[in-house]
Amino acid sequence: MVLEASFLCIDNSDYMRNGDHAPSRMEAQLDAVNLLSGAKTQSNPENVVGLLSTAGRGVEVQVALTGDVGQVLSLSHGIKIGGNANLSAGIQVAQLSLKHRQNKNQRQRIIVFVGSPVQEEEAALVKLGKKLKKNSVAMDIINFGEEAENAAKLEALLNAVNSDDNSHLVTVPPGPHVLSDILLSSPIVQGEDGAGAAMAGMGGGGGEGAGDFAGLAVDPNMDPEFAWALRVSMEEERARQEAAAKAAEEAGAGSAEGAAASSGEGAAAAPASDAEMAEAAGGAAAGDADEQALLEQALAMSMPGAAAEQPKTPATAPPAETPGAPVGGASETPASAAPPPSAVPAPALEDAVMAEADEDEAMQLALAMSMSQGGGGESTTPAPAPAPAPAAGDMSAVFQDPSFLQSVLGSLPGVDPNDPRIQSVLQKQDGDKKEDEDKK
Amino acid sequence: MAHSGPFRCQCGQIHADQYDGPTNDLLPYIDTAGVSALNESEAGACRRIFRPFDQRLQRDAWLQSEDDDPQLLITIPFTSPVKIQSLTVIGGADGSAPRELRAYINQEALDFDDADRMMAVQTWQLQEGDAEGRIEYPTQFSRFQNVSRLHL
Repeated sequence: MVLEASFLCIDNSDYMRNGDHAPSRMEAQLDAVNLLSGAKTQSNPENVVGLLSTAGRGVEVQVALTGDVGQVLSLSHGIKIGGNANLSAGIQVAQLSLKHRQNKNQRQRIIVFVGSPVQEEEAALVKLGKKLKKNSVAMDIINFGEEAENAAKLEALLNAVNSDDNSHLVTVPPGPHVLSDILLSSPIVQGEDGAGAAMAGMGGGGGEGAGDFAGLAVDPNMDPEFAWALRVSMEEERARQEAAAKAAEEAGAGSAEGAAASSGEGAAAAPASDAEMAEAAGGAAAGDADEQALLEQALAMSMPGAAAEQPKTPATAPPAETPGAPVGGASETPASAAPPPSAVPAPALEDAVMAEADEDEAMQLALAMSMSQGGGGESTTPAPAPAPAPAAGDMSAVFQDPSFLQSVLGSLPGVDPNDPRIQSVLQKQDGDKKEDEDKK
Repeated sequence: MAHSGPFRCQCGQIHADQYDGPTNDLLPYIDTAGVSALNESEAGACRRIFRPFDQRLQRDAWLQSEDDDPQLLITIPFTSPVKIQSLTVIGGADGSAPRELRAYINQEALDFDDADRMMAVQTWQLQEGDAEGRIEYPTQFSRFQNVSRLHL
């Protein structure tokens, strides 16, 4: 939260046409300019940023010190490539501009992009650096493009300017990575005491998928509320998955042979739907289709272990937080107006009815797995594949047999078949199943 | 600004007081939080050098310039406009005390280039060997009537 006036010096020499930093060095630079000016003005609203180009016809100040990031961005795109970079002149002009800043309380900082060979001698650079240090100007140097050649000179310059670790040198080798991403995690954006750590925290916390990171990295700058919403939904999702994983483990321990397959499937399904969920949450489109998909996935996740896993899950819902399906729905947008009616455990099954096709498949699969421990020769596929309807019907018939259900339930640890809650749920489920068949 | 001997400039305490001791000490009027210095070897050391009259000879805290550059520029804001009558500088031993002292008044911000260009309001040549600050350097009082910010 340091009050700072930063002047960015970008290199617009002919070396910037090179494509070794995607898509071209110049574009990577402009991207980084966008990032840096956003980061600076974000960390303190009174910060100002300026921009100049060091090549072309000569050093030219593109944007005087301003707090308006939009102005910096729009004018940065008008910069033409050509000529040779004059580093020392650029730095001196930047220093002069900083000297005449309006708010003298702001610290002075120059951020230089160096992408072409430095023509000045090392001694001259050191002298310049000392002058900057004497006038308490800090400096950040971003060495890309011709790093090997410039490394020694820029190191010397950094050591001359550096006072109490307020200056940094970042070297970016060419490669598939994005310049801005590297800068984001570097001390230039992070600040000396991790002032920018908030952004890194958000990026790290939302690092479930690589795509998410890039998305979240922009969020704190553009839309803090949206970023907060995403973060909350991510945390909710994680908590729910942990609960589901624990439940799956408990159930899986009960059924002997099915355990390996189910927990394997559960583990496989978990990260799969994890990623899907993350993407769904990241997409944040609360369409009905998405909710359906989420519900199905939630059911699939809670399925592994035993057939009775499903009635068990809603049964344990009343003491626990929220059942899988509604949390799945809620994690879409935390501000989603109407959570599905499955906020109550019993209606969770009615929701299951809505997703009847998948429920049947899942149930059939679970049944098959639990029956396979008894030596049943059902060959099952690990994924809940669509099953032919008559087979599903058969399974449902079997499933409806309360005595069968009781035996399965009894084999599970921690589930008391005489538990009145489970009884009531079972009865309701039977009723739903009949409804199911009628609907078909 | 203070120049000094070959390499080092070590400025001791500076405070403005009257001849007769602590009664007119301007220490309470110095906005110590706003004191800053350019080219100091240790950031923030400049705040410690302003002391009450009776502690002025303590050697535990001092302000020192960078190793190879013997110039220091100290900014002293005051909490209210003051009239400065005299200055005393207590420097380090063996040639590390400042030799020349220039004062600039009421400039919003000065750096070394500005100070070189501008005429100082007053310049003193400091005596060598005054390790105890017995010499007070009087100001041209008429020029120091309404000082809210002092650069030395």
